Amino acid sequence: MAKLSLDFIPIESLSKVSMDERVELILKRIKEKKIIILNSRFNPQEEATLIQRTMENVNKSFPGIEICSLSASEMNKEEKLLTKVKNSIINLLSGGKRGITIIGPAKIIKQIKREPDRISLLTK
Amino acid sequence: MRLKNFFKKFIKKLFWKKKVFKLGIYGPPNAGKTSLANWISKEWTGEEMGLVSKVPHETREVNLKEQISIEKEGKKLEINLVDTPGISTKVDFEEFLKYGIKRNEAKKRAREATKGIIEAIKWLDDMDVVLAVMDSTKDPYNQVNITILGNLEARKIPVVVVANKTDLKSSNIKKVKSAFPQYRVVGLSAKKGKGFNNLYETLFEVSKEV
Repeated sequence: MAKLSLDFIPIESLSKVSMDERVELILKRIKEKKIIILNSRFNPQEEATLIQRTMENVNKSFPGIEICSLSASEMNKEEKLLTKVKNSIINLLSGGKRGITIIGPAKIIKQIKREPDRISLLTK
Repeated sequence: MRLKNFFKKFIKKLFWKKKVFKLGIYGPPNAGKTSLANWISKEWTGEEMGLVSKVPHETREVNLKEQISIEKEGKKLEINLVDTPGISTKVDFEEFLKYGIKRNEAKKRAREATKGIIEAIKWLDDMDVVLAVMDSTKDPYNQVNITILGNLEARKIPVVVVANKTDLKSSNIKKVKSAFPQYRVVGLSAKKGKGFNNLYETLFEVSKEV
C-alpha cells in the first residue's frame, strides 16, 4: 500500500514567487508522492499551466495528477445548496482566490470528487 | 498610449466584422468532441474530420478544417473548425491496455496524448469562439470542465456549453444547465445528429459577439 503524505502549504508562502515557480514547486512535491493542500484556489491560468507542466513530466511512474479546487462560497453552509453550487462555480470561473485546492499524484489518488459542500478524496 | 489603443479597438469593433472565425471544440476525453466535429464538417463539406473510438485519447493532434460555410434560413456563417485532443490531468498507458491495445502501442499512445493536451491548451489563445463539450451522462462539476471554462472566461472568448450524448437514457441536461447558469447550454447528440439546428442558431447569435 502506498504511503500517504499530506503537505499543507499556506498561500502566503507562495505569493512572492512567479506563477511558473509556484507550479514547479507544487509539481516537485507531487512527484515526491505528496498530496498538497492549499488554503486558496488555483486560478484557471495556474491550473492550465499545471496541466501542461504535468503532461511534460508524465512517464511510467508518474501518470499525472488529480486536482480539485473548491471556492469559499462552496464551503459556506449557510447558503442553500443550489445557490452555493452556482456561486462557487461563478467564483471559480471569475478567478476568485478564496477557497481550497487539493492536488496529488494520480498514482496514489483514485479520484477527487467535488461534492456540493465538500471534497471527497479516494485513494487507490 | 492607452487612449490610443482604446480608440483603435473602438473603431475596429465599430467597422470591422470578422468574416471567418475559428471555432474550437474543447472538453475532456470521450466527451464526443470528434463526433461533433465530424457531424458539422460532414453536413457542410461532405467530409469527416477524424476517427472516433471508445478508447480515450483517440484524437491526439489538433485537427483543423478550414472554410466551412454554415447556411440556415438566409443566415451564413464562415468558420474554421478546430477539433482538439481531450484535456485531462493524467495519462496512464496502462489504461489503454484494458482496451486490448498492446503495451508498446499503449506507451506510444500515452506519449502522443500528453503532447496533444499541451497543444490543445496552447491553441486556446487562437480561438474566437469555443464549444465546451461535456458528456451529459456524467458529473458536470469535474475539474477539467471548470479549468476549460475558467480559461475561456479569463481570455474573454465566447463559449457555448454543449451537453452531448442526449440520446442516452442517463443524460441530464438540467444538471449541466444548473452547473453553468451563466452560459448558453445546448443539448445534442453528436452521434445521432440531433439538436444541431439549435446549435447553429446559438452560433449565429454568438458570432455577433466576435
